[in-house]
Amino acid sequence: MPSADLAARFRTGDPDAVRELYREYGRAVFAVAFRSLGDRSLAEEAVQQTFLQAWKGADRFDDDRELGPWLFTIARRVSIDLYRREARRPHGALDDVGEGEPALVTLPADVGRAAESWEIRLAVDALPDGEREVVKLQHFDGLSHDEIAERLDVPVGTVKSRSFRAHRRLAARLGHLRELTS
Amino acid sequence: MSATGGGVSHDEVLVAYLESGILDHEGEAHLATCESCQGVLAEIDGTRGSLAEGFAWEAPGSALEDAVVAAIQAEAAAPVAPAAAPVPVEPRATAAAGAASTGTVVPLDARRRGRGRVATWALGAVAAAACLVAVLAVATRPSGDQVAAPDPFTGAVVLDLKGTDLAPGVTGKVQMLPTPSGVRISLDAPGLPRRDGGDYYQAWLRSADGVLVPIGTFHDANEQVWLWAGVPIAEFPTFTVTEESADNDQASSGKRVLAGSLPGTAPATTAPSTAPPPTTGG
Repeated sequence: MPSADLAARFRTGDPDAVRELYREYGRAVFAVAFRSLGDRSLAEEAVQQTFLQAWKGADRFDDDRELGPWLFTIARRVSIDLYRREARRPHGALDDVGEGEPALVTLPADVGRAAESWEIRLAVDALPDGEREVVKLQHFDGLSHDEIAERLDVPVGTVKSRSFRAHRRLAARLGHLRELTS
Repeated sequence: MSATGGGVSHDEVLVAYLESGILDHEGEAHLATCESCQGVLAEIDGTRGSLAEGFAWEAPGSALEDAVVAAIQAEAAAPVAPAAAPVPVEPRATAAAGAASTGTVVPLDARRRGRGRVATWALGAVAAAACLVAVLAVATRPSGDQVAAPDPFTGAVVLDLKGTDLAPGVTGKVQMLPTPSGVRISLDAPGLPRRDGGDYYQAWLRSADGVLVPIGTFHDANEQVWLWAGVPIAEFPTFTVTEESADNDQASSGKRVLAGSLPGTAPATTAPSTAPPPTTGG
């Protein structure tokens, strides 16, 4: 968890505070942007803009509130703005369509799932390294428990127990998402 | 394992489901009456698709943290009051700006109090400009020079290009946006004739002491051209476009058609600003 006085130090531009905040939330900001924009370079641009805009608006931030939801709000807005900026760029035959054409300026498809992206990423990042690695290999790389055990050179029982613990943690942390969407 | 009635435990059900996504008869029977397992498995199913997506695992480049810190520090050290600012700035903020010019990291509280007196648009433009320049090359900027005002949202610097005698009357616009991957540059130069058949244009960045860095080739700048540079634009502040041919010679032909320099840096030409840039050189 970020230290209690992080917001105050971030407001002063303290480099250590900026780094602390980035390390706590940078990947989650990136996740929101990457899912919305579908492009690494743009997502990195969104991360930089999010933290810069957060710093510019830090005067208005209430220290008693949590930094995470505030950063998420900025990240989501920055991602939408970047998406709209990119959508306005000329693309071949669409050049003939006016810039103000509403059909050209829509919300990114996954922006409605921005909160889910944020929560999932924070939950994944909060897993112990060994458990996170197993979950990644299982879901992202599509490996079986036996294949993971071979890849990591650990007993398959270790893989099962790590997977079990990790999914318990994820379920506990992300249960509210299911309640929200059900 | 946490044992329960019915011969199978919560943990065994969960482990089996995680391994194969399939439960045997005993597991199904347990699941039918166990709300705890139903909840956990529903959560796993709900996030399974998301956990297979890149956003859950991809990480930004390692340079991004430094870029974020540098951008905020540069903004913090930005001059508060431009010469054209219509409203005076509090003395404390001015003192902070002075300290910033010497490289001292200035607490922002004082600066923020000073900002309240200055028009928001002016602050945004000046702060963003100073941010960019400070990040790229603080030391090379002569005092008193005007700095290009970047787009207040994107932070991109816009640079105007002039045609040389090889492209009289042609003008162009360049937007340069520093990113963690490099400087992303877009070029628009409507009116520049298309070159084909082994002939093309090449864009360059040039340092004050004449070092040329190629940043891409193209046929036509009537459409937006995207270029990337791996050098800091404050150290390579002159943007040029030359005519080239596919002749196995990687050096510049010297046939310059467009040129422009960042405001506040060495000009693209020593000629008066109303004259076109020279046609020779990269």
